Amino acid sequence: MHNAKCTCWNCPAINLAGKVDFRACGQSIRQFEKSPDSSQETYIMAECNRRPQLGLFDPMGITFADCPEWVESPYGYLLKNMRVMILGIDGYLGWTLALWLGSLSCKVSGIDNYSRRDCVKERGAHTVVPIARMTDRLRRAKEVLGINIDFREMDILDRENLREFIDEVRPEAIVHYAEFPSAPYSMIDVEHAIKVQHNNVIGTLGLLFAIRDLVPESSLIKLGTMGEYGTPLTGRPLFEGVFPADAVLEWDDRQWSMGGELTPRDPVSFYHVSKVQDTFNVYEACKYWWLRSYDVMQGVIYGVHTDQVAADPMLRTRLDLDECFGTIINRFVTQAVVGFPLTLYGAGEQTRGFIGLEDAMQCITRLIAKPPEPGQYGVVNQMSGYTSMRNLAEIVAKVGRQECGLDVKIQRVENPRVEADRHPFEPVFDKLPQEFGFVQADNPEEEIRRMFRLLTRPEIKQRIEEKKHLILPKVWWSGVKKEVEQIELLRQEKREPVEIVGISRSAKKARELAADVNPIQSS
Amino acid sequence: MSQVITITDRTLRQEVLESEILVLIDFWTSWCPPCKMVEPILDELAAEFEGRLKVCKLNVDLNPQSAAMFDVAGVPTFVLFERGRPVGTEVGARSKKQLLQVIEAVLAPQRAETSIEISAAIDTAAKDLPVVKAEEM
Repeated sequence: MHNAKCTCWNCPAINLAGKVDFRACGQSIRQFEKSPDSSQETYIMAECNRRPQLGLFDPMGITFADCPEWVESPYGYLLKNMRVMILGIDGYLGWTLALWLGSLSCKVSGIDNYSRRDCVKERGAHTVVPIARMTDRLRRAKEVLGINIDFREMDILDRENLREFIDEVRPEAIVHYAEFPSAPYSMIDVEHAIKVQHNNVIGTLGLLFAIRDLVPESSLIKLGTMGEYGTPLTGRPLFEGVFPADAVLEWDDRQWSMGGELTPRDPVSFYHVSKVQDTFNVYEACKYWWLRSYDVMQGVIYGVHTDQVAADPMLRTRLDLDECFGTIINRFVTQAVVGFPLTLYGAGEQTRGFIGLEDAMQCITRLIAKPPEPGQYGVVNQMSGYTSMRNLAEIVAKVGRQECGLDVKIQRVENPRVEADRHPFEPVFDKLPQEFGFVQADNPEEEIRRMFRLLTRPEIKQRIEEKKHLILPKVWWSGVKKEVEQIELLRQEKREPVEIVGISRSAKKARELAADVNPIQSS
Repeated sequence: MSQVITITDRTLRQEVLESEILVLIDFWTSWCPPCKMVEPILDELAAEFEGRLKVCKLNVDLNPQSAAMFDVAGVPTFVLFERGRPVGTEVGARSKKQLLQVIEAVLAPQRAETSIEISAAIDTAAKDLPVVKAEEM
């Protein structure tokens, strides 16, 4: 178990007692409510909310493996009936995670103001996989899976009610999905840019203050995006949020370690800027108030399947095809189903990281299971592989032909975005597999096959047909109002698409090194 | 293979001040990103210098006495000890190459001894440390 050696220091079920005074390190004096007995040698003590009979004790003294409150699960030790609050619980990820965690015996609560449903409607689109109303979803989750979800309809900007709900639930982990997740949506016009930045930045800021005041020991799992880093043309690696200690700045014949400093961000839309602002706000809150957070830089998500959402049609999660809210693989599959050429922007050589829905759920669960330490701001790049858009289109086309006998074409259109469409890309995504035990379970081709099987059902195919006119992008970063034009319809490639690369270069190098040192063990 | 040892105010005397081999302490906190990034380097040093260097880490929030004793004013701080005496201090994240330079300078044979004043100061401060017998640890 990846988290067996974690101690109460990581556990959200403790209160800290004592005093921290390290002003010299840039930290303010912090006096916890309770003071330890002066005869105790350890300065900071822990008190367990679940086992108050233990009194005050050394926070490093008990490991998860030894604590009866932490029980084994497929994703590491998990706190028994852990209280997890999901902000944005009605969305593509939020709903899926609610059922996933519910099936692991977590006590799930959540809020949503249905803004995703409203925004998609505003763009004239609808989810191609039909989803039930929240009341029906909740009822069905109970009937089919035996999962009770404590849901409140609420806007994250409604700070008073949010605080009240947090205080009532006392969550031990908070997963924050309550943000507008769309670059094009933020680039429509000034009103949309403001709407996205206001909701995302102010929503997160309000949440941070609520956590500080009410549940500072809870861990915040905050969804960021790989898009925060952009695609720097120098080709420097995209580290996991901060530089490793061996990254050195050289100038004027002198050297400094960059270890632990935030890496440069190069967001590519006003939406991405809001995520970068969040990164800094969360980073500072951890520093000022000893909050604990993982900032999850998620690659492009795809897929329709988890065992829970597939258990009943009323439990399905949404799937969007429009330019604002559909993600690339999901969009490609919907295009293929209705015979619309898979649409690449510009050269189509943009490279991105990807992760399947089920793998994303696994990663978030593993992060919840190994909470950060007091004050720790950790960043993970959550992806299982990366490839170019063009290669991805070829993979989808191949599976579409094989699985459904579809005649899938690929086209290039003008690129409405401001981005490099050919660029180096070297993401580092080692932490989840190395420190959290993440093992990729989704096979991309298999998941795409599964998507074809679902989306070619007549009633769903009909829903795609109805919104086919919303597939081509209309939002230009320049503000120009016009439809994109086709540049080229690609001839069917004879070559086989290459697989999505599933290991980062640094992990591969480490493996090779290990094989050199000890060829017998590694074989 | 040698690993990084977690030490506390209680074990500092035995693990560090009474150590017969060179000791490197990483004074760290959980809220310090540079401290986290240095961890893999410390693991490598512990393995590579097995028998010649003991690598320890001490959480300054949980062990303020030791931190105060060595004037730790920022994290991470690395202090190298030879026969219980500090012989080198580095403040801030360091690359492996930079830490190696400090360690190798001390391991090199021709080198000045620790000053008498520092030795006396440590002796005074160490009097306040708890004495822990090996079986209690």
